[in-house]
Amino acid sequence: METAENQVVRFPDGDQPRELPEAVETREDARLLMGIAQGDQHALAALYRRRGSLIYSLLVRMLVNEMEAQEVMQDAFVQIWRRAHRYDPARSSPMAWMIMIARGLAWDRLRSRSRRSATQAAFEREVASLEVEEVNGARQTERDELATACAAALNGLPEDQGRALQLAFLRGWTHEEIACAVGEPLGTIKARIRRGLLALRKTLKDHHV
Amino acid sequence: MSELHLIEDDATLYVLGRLTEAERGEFEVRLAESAELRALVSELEEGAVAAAMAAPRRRVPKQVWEQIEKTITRETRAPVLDFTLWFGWLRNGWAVAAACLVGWLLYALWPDRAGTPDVVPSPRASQANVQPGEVPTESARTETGGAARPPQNTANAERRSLQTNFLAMTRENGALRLQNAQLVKQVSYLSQVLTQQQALLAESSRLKFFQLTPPAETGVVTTNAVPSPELQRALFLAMARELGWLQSPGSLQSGSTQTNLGGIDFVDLRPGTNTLSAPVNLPPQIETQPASTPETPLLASDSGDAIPGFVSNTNVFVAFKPSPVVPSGSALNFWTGDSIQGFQPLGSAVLTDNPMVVTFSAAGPNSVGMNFTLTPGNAAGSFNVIGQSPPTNSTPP
Repeated sequence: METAENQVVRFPDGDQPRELPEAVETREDARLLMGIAQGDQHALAALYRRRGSLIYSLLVRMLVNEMEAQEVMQDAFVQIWRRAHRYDPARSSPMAWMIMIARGLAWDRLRSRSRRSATQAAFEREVASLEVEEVNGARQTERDELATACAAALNGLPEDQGRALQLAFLRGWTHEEIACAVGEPLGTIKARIRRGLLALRKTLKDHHV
Repeated sequence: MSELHLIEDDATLYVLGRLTEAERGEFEVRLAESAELRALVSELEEGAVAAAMAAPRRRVPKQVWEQIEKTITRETRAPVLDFTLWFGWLRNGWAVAAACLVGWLLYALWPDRAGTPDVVPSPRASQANVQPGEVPTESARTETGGAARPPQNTANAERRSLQTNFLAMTRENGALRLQNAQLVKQVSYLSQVLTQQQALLAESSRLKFFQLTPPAETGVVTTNAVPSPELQRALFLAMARELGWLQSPGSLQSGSTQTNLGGIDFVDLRPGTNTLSAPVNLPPQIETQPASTPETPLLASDSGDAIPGFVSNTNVFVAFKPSPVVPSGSALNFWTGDSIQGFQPLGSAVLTDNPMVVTFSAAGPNSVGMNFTLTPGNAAGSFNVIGQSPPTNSTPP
């Protein structure tokens, strides 16, 4: 008896509909997280092999210190191991969930380093530091095609939007701190960051399509 | 507009991890209730993933995984109690008694016990600064020595734990409510579809096709096949007559039981319309052979061992043609009822060389709904039941 699962809609040319690579990757990540939730260490190792480099790269970019990035990386994967049973695929993608954990831990580190002043000078210093790191990082390492597209999209954002997004996402600046530093209304900063994220999302989608 | 704007801002803060635990809990409740908000958060999260991917790719040093592996292996190893030690103590009952005595003496002789406050070591500065909802880092745990962690901040830890549990429960509750609403919606939809289907099936004007089969042995699969072209034609003409597309001069003759139209014999056994056909030579006692041991294949048509027919309102139409089992000249005897309620004859018809359609009523005075049985017979003897609805292993007398 034919079940609904077996009924595959075929396109006129006879080809089966192709699944987007993004969806395949997401499903595999979710499967591994499910395994981790059941205490499967091999699943954690597989997830680490698949996504470790990306998360570590983000942590190095955020902390600008490889030793600290390694410590936070350890913490992040231990947290992923402990919290995998709480992951809800209906609420977020596995990558977004893991990045949120790693960013949260890195943000704690950044906060514990020193209290920064939300001044124009501090803002300019952070922006300059981000640019230097970007150039150095790009010189030292290779990016794959997707990473290159994402970096190009990030650098291609309007300057105000790109700076606000990077400071909020990579350096843990609050919206209020950014607004105070650049002397612009809080609502403007919030809108800039949101639009920046949505523009980057479009790049990711376009690349997969 | 301002409310929408606020939700969008909260969504950005949620994705960037900038909401406090309480705000996060509240936001997740709203997230569970709003598909639009979920879509926005999903888009913003994809943007955050793209921002993360933009970082120049680094190779992770090998020792990082080794540390992770060590930590989780340590965590998964369950503590093992040395029960033999405890059994040893139990064996020595006097030791237990001595311990009780010492305990009692301490209790009795402890000075100023009523005024002794609970001993709570002062919290260390580094831990006192931990914000509510902050995740303690693994490296921080390593620095403090794990097991050597002092029992301070118990109240704070409990409060945090309670807050965390409460928020987790709130989130789960929201998600469950959402799932419940979706399930209710699905059940409602399925119920609606089922009601529609049942209403369609109950329409009295709907023609329902069937194939009569003889009672089968247990485990024997009865096959339904396509009726032969002659029987298909016979059924089609019967349908045309039933639906009023075709007026048969023969059928209008009062008292006629058997009419011929286009080479098809039509026999009407419905009460009040016709009398029984002339050659009703029902044998005084039809000797049926056990249904489970048929001597010959019971082929009444080309459609395997099935007899095709259809039901319109309460009228039943079945089609036959001569076959080796039911040869021309055989009387086809129709019975209603079953072995429990008793078999009543509905009538009989004689098969000629032509295909034949027999009509009888499932709502006559003798009829018992759609319970009917068909047996052929002729002067030479009798045969097994060749068709029965519903199939049972009972045979008419």
